[in-house]
Amino acid sequence: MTNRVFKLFSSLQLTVVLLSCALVLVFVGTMAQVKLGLYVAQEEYFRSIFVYWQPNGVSWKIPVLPGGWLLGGLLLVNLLAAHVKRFQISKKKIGIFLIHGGLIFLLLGQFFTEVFQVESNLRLEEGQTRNYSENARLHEVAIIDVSNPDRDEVVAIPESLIAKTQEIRHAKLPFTIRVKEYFENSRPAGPMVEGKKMQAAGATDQFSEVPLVATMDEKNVPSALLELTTESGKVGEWVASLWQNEAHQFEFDGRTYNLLLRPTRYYKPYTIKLLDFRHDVYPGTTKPSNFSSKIHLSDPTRGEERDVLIRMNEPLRHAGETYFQASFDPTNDKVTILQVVRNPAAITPYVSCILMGLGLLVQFLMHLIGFAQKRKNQIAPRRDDPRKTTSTALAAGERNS
Amino acid sequence: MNVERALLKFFLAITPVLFVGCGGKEEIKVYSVPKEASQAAASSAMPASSHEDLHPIHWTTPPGWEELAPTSMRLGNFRITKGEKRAEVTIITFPGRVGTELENVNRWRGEIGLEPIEETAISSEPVVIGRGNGKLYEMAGPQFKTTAAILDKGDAKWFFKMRGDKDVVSEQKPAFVQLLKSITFHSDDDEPQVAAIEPPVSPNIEKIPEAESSGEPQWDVPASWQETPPTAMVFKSFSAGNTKISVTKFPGDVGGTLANVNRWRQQLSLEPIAQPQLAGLTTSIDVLGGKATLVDMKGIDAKTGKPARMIAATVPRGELTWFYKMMGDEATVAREKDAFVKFVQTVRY
Repeated sequence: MTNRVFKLFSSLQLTVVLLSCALVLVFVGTMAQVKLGLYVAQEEYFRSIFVYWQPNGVSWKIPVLPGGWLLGGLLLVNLLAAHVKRFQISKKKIGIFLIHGGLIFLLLGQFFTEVFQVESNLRLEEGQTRNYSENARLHEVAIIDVSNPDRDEVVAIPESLIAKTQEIRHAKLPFTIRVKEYFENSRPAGPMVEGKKMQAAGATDQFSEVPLVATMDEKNVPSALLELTTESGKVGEWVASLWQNEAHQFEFDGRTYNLLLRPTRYYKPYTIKLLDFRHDVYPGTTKPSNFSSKIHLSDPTRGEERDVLIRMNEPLRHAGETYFQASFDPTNDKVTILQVVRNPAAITPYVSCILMGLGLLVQFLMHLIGFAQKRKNQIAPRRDDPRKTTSTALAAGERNS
Repeated sequence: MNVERALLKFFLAITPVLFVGCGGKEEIKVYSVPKEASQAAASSAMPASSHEDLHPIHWTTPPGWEELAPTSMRLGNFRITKGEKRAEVTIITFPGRVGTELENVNRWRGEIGLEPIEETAISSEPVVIGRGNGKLYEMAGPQFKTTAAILDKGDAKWFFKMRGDKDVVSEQKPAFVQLLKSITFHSDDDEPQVAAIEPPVSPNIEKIPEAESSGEPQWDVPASWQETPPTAMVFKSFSAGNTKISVTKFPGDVGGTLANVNRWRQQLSLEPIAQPQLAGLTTSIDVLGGKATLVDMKGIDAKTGKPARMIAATVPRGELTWFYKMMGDEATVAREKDAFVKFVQTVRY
């Protein structure tokens, strides 16, 4: 049984089938972006085990294609199994090993990038200093104990947990959070707006559920109706929404808390201050030709104090994060938006390219040297023939004599 | 085969670990941050400046009224206190249809403990709201009174409401009417922008905003026009038969009217003109919230070599200049001229 499984995984037929599936997946996944938008299509087609098809009006769905992760994983297994089965370590094969090693490294690196890469934005106005970035697509409900005059104690609950959990308890929270209603996309609604709505008891603001959006320039604005309770009763209920500018503040057990729904934050042990933001456009258009942010980086943990100019294609790399000049605020020309990318596997494409390049070079040189030697050997006997014959005859004569 | 078996086991063991690793983003995070950072952060989720910059409505607060911070619903939020008695004034807006007059009146009646009434029993008086005319309603319950006004503006409805203790509301009615008079909508634009329902600005802008994202105007496209995919630099394009209509926008005045007219003349294989001749060639038309310059020229299409007619309009709006151009064969352009002019005149920026 093991042998049969191993034979299947190491077969060339599997490679061909997987590559064909990958071809189809890339095509349909690309076409799906028209309807689903980039992010949803990526999730459904490439960051998935299977691609599902769901007929209209039913709750079940059936897998119709292997997803990106399954294909990538199987290709990796296939490559490794083929190596174990067919290749033997020898000097002659070193080039092939390097090429395949590079490919394996690339596949693994891409997988780890998918899993561990975190992208966020840092929005800064000139003169402003920040020590955190925010995720544009993920949100969190933050309950912040603001009683301490120096520091805020934050409990941040991811939106994904709010979406699927009825009750949330945490050791750091003296109350239980009950999610009474949650809309992944919402908008403020008036009393006459029909459809599903949420409204906190005693509050006037209402929010209605609206269809999800998927395109790159739209975003879902979530709202959640949360009730905070303890064993002795209800603390209060509020709608936390990304639409709101301010946190809800309340007192409990002698402490003051802020409750808000906000983009997920990533705090850093260093600060970045925006000194100057430049935004140039091509004359007569609104197309950006160049934009750059001059920032001051202050990292006490590494003893770094320096000014850095971040421009398009000239990011700042610091403490495992890369800051790219990404965007600007069309309503405020003093505001820069930097994209912050943390990718522990960022080095892998470079390493794999070096490995594959080296492998190709070795392979090519070995073939070249082998060919040159073979050619030399073929030519040499013909040219040396008379002398070789004489010397052979002489040697034979000497032996005979 | 030991190696093979070991390898297989390794993969079977590692696969679930890898996939479990993918789902590890759902933890509740607990951390402590310095106060300053947190406060700066609170203002960042939605920049305070966006309220001021994009606020679609302005007013003069009557004396004695306390202006409160706006909320996500209330663009205007006031409190009036007279000793123990109070009233509150709110300004809100909703896009589209938000109930009939009767539904709104009965909702207000319900708020102050009054029974619903029939449509024929509704009484209202006309009231000036900024540059528009709205309707004013008054209703008094046993303890509370509501004075409210509704204004229809473009696709949105605006509600202005004063509700509170009877005495206060009655006494403050002149101030409320004065507030309504003082209303001005964003810039010189008569059409209120429904900023309250726009998605929050930043920090979540995810791409370099294209020109389009700074605000798309609303328009009613004539039935005879078909929208076509815009090309580079063109904001929107339409076609009517073989006639093309394009809408473009640029910052600034893009060289002024003369330069633009001469650019268009070049497209019609016509000689450039000088400033004195310009006045005879252009006409001024009224558009919503301002004026537009219209030019109508005939020539030979420089691209096709065929006779062509062009009607173009420039509309300066804020820091942008909008260009509307219709070009094609003379018969179609003549037929579509009225629709084109009406289209330009009714664009809501």
